[in-house]
Amino acid sequence: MIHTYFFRAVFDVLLLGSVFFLSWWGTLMFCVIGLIFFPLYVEVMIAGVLLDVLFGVHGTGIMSFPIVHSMIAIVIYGVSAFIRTRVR
Amino acid sequence: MNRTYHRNETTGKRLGMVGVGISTLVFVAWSVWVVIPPFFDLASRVSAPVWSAGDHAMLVASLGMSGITSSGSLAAEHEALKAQVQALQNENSALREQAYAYTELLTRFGRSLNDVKGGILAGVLSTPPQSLYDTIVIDAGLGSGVTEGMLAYTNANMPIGVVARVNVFSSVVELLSSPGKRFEVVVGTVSDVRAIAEGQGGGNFIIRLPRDTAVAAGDPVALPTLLPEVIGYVAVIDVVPTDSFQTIHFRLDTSLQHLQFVMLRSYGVNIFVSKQIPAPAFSEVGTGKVAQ
Repeated sequence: MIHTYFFRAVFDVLLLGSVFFLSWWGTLMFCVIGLIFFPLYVEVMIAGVLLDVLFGVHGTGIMSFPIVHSMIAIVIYGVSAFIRTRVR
Repeated sequence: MNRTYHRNETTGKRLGMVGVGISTLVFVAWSVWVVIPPFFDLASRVSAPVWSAGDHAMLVASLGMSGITSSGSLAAEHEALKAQVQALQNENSALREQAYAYTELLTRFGRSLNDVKGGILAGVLSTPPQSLYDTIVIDAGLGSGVTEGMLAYTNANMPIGVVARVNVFSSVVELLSSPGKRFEVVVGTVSDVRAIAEGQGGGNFIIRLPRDTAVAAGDPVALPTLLPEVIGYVAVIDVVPTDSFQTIHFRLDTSLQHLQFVMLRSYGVNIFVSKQIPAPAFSEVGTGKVAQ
């Protein structure tokens, strides 16, 4: 159990680093890997919000704040949760 | 009867789950929209040192790598650099002549180069494609006098974007090539055709002009300013026989990934316009005259 928490913490640091230093598809890969190997990997949504906060500019239409990455994170989290219920 | 009841119950449950999912999605989007903006400054305070540390680490790593390269490759690199210096010297003398001519012209009309020079120097913290947005983050913010709407130039006096968000210690520059953004440009050196360029993302642009307009591959595309601020050069011209317009493709004449500094200057007006570019009449593949 401790090992799982340890690996998850290390992976979280890598995910956070990818937000700052890798391309968006690098972060996306980390997110997908995290969703596969860790249960309830909500850090995906934190990464999505962080990407919006760091790089986003004013949105268009009714959205004054762009939430493209946040929405993508929510969707892939939802999809992974749905798939997890089906494969078990 | 029993089976039908169970089927209806399952469908109801599924619909309920979908409803809950959509409600959650809308709620989270709304929360992010309302709650996140106050955290911009906090994020800029935390992220700027992280990016700087990353740059230093890359510098140290590259210095370490240069120590273990062979003498043969160093000699080759030396020769290449000498050739590059020679080419730059030639280019510099040509530009000096051009600058002299401009100074003469400006003096005659009571203006000086100092009117259009100056600005705020800022280091680039992150470049595309770190996010899906076509933005770069720079290390100058409110404290350095940065304001929204300032134009960001590369060191070669080339405009690349507009300051779209200013934090305390950093700012976000939206590139001119952001998808859907439109602004006025001048195409060519002789005819000076005015047109609207539209960003396509990743440093790419298109311009739609009547087919009879004389534009050639390699023509400069610049902002309509006192000094020519070239954005890029015409790369490809798509001409479809059934379309009365030609589509001109060009891209930023700089490598965004290797950008280290930008200069920020006021432009005076909002550079972006809301005019629509007429859509291609047909989606055929054009003739594609490519730049030599």
